[in-house]
Amino acid sequence: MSLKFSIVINTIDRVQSLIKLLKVLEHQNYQDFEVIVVVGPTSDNTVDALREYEGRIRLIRCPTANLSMSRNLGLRAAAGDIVAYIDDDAVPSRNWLAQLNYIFATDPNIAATGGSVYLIHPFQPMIQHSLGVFSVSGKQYDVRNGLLDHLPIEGQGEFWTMRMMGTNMAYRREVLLSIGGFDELYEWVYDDSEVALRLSAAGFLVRPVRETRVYHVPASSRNRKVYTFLVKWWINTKAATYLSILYWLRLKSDFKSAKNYIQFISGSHIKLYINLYKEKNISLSYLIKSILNELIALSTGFYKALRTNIFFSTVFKSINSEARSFQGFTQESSHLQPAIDPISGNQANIQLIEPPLRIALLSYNYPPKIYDGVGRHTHMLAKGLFALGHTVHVLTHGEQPTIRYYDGAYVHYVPYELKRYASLRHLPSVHHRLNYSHAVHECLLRLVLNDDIQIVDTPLWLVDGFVTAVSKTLPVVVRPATANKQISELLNQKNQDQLLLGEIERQLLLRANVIAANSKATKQVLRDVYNIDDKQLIVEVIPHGIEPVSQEQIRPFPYHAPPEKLTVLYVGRLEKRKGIQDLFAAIPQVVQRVPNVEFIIAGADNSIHDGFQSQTGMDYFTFFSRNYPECLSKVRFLGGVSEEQLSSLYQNCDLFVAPSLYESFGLIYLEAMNYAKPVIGCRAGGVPEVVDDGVTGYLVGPNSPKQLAEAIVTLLKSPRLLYEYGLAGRQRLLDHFTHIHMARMFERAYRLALSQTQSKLRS
Amino acid sequence: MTRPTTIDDILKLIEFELAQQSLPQDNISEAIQRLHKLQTYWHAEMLHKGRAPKMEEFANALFNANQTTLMLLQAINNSLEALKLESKKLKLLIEKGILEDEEENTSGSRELAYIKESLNILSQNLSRIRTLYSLEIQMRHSNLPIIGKFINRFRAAFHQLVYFYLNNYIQSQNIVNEQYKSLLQDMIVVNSSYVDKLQGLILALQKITEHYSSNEEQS
Repeated sequence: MSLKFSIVINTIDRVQSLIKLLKVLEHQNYQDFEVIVVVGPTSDNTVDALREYEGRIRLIRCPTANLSMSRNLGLRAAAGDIVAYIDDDAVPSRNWLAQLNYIFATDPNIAATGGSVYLIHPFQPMIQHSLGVFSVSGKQYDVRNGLLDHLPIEGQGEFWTMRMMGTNMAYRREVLLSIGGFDELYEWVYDDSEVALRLSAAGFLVRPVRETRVYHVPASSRNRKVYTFLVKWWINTKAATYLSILYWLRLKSDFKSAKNYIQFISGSHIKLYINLYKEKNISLSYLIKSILNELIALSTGFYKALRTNIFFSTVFKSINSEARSFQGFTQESSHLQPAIDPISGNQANIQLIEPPLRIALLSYNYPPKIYDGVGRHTHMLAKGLFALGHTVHVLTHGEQPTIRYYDGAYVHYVPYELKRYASLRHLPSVHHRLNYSHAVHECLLRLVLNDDIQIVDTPLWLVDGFVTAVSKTLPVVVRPATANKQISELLNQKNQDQLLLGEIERQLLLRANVIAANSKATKQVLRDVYNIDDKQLIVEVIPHGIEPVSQEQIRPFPYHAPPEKLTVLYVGRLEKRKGIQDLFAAIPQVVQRVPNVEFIIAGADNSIHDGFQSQTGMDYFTFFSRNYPECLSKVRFLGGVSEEQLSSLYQNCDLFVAPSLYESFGLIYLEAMNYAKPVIGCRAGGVPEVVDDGVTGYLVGPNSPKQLAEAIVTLLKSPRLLYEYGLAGRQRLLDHFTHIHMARMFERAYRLALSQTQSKLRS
Repeated sequence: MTRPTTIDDILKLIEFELAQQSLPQDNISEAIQRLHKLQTYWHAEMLHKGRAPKMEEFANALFNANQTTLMLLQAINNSLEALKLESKKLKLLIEKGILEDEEENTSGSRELAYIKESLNILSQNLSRIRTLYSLEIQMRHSNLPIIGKFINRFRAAFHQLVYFYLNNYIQSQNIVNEQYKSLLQDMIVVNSSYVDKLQGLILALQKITEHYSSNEEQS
């Protein structure tokens, strides 16, 4: 059954957020809805900005800055069966209305519902609301871990009900009208909870749910300054006092409980003001004003409650019945709208021919937190896909199940506990990987429910998407790079844990709808190491891409005025596979012939894991300082470096060297080429596909320190080559290896995987 | 136990976990899943290569499992009562004579009374387990360090004592588990009989609705 929905948005002075919300509503999966915007006494250009939506929305003016009154005006104008409220600084998940429709249509007893609210906050993302409960004395809790954990609440002697948060709540219109709508004596807060109390008391079923998500991107308003504690907390106190006292008078409930709650609210506000003053966030006059306002709020709340109890049964001025007409919001082009950044409101400026995709990218680590090569690749892919108009969700590891928006993608943090697969605990890597993969799978299921995800893209490394691939819930694209089985074979590791992890990788590849290898070399590895028949499976070669830095940031070699000191940069972990020993052996030969050279080695020591320490008893730095003490003054070991440092290192070097014995692709060469730097690598793995030998740099044989030294010397002795190879490298990147090139190819792979799944379903 | 784990074992485990997840997401299924997780965890602790659990931890886990099972049974019992109410509501909607009310009502009450009684017995058994557990604690408090050869002798005696109580404890748990099993089986029977009855009632209601609507059309 398809119900008609009226979405009511109440707004004052937040035009940017409002327009962003209206853009996001175009993406709703459920089409049968109208939009009613109730504008308060605004001082910005809200009304002008809404002209663009003329004929698609209904605009109503609210004379005062009173949220309850504004909500009631929306309710009065609504023509739908269901009235859904959302704040102007929030955006709904794609299936928001579809899920609400399902809830109301399947259970006619439900009068009101609403889902979770995720705070998209740059510093402290959190679940702002989920399955709330509320009592007549004003106490409220979120039941985040399931009702079973909170069973005793019913037994505390107060009247409790489930509640929704104002930014994500929906009511049957007739039911809400029958109880008189919202109490207009609540100007800003508690209005949503109090309605739930009255609905429950009148015998209606209020049943919020855990999903049906709304993403809250808080914006400043006349009552609060966003991302600070500067909020008019006294409005909260006034509402809390009004509610607690009124219900105490009406229900003759426990006065002590009401009094304690008011004391708690008001007391914590005053403590907060004092702390803010101590930390010099507010002035003395603001502190005094705030405390006075608190006291006034207490007495006003008390007075309002007494007056309402004596003179009125209900105080709702804006409710009456009038003729309504339903006006649909979506239009034909709605499904072709590019994805929207919920924070800035930015949208790709392109005309789409096919509807944009909804993609989940997996990556165990991801910026802005610490990340590795897979995280970097995923970040670039997400950015590229957003630029092509697609909605991107990234699932990464985190301690709390929060969501933030970063650089074109919703980033979902997935915590995991070792609560499953306990019988595999003797295999720690497998045990951890499976538990995390299962947690990712659960998160994906919720994303399918809320955001209508179509496809999953998982790296082979750490097998994040393995459980999803086994479950066959969604089509899966696998991105193989250098993976565990390959490394195990390179390092000759034979423990059962690593062997099984390699088997899991193979099974993931076999279950992939499309495999997106980053180079022809990786495709060959699939055959050799994983024994994958690429004629049976779809294997696409999609090279990595990165975002080109601006023209101002590039630093080609100044061959007209060469610097006194020439800098050679190495970036990568200090380990055997990265060819660090070959570089060490080449350095003395270079120093001998080019005395004004300096080597910078950026990367963490990995001598423990690659077995170097067990063989030699020392780390790489000690090894170098003992074996080549004469060169120590010419080499700087930086250890692990930050992103900013890395950019600066690329920018300021003259030559980039990374003699890796194997790289599935070689993203580091691209990063140096981005700043117009010539590069030297080995003829191994995917490196020859990135470095054009004799055009953008040189390729030498693996394990050949002599050749390496020769190539470095040749380039350092020729300023013109340093300049020309650098510029050619930058151009090669712009022509073939940008994140947009990569995203376009991935888009094709995703559409291929989707069509393959659909054709399988049909057959 | 000594056979090395294979990829097929892992795939089977994943399928099993996925099957657990496909249960409907209500409170009862949530409780079942919690029990399942607790069970697999302690199974691994006791029989696989996990750290050796202390007696106290094990007893706590067992007690928690019992408590959750009891709560689960109570929840199932409540939903059975709700089902019974639903069937009563439906009956009110249906004209008299379609169902033999008296007989079914009494049999339903009898079944529910039986379940309640069984729950009471379970509660008693749980308190018995708790008593046994407290005995174990007292014994542990008396374990004072004694030097020399007495230590070994004392340890042997101590272990025998632990085994004695542990045996008792496990036997009691087995009795409780047996009762859980039979009770759950009975509840399933009662539940399915209610579902059958409800289906019958819904069909009857549909017939009546059709009958009335056709009458209205004719008139």
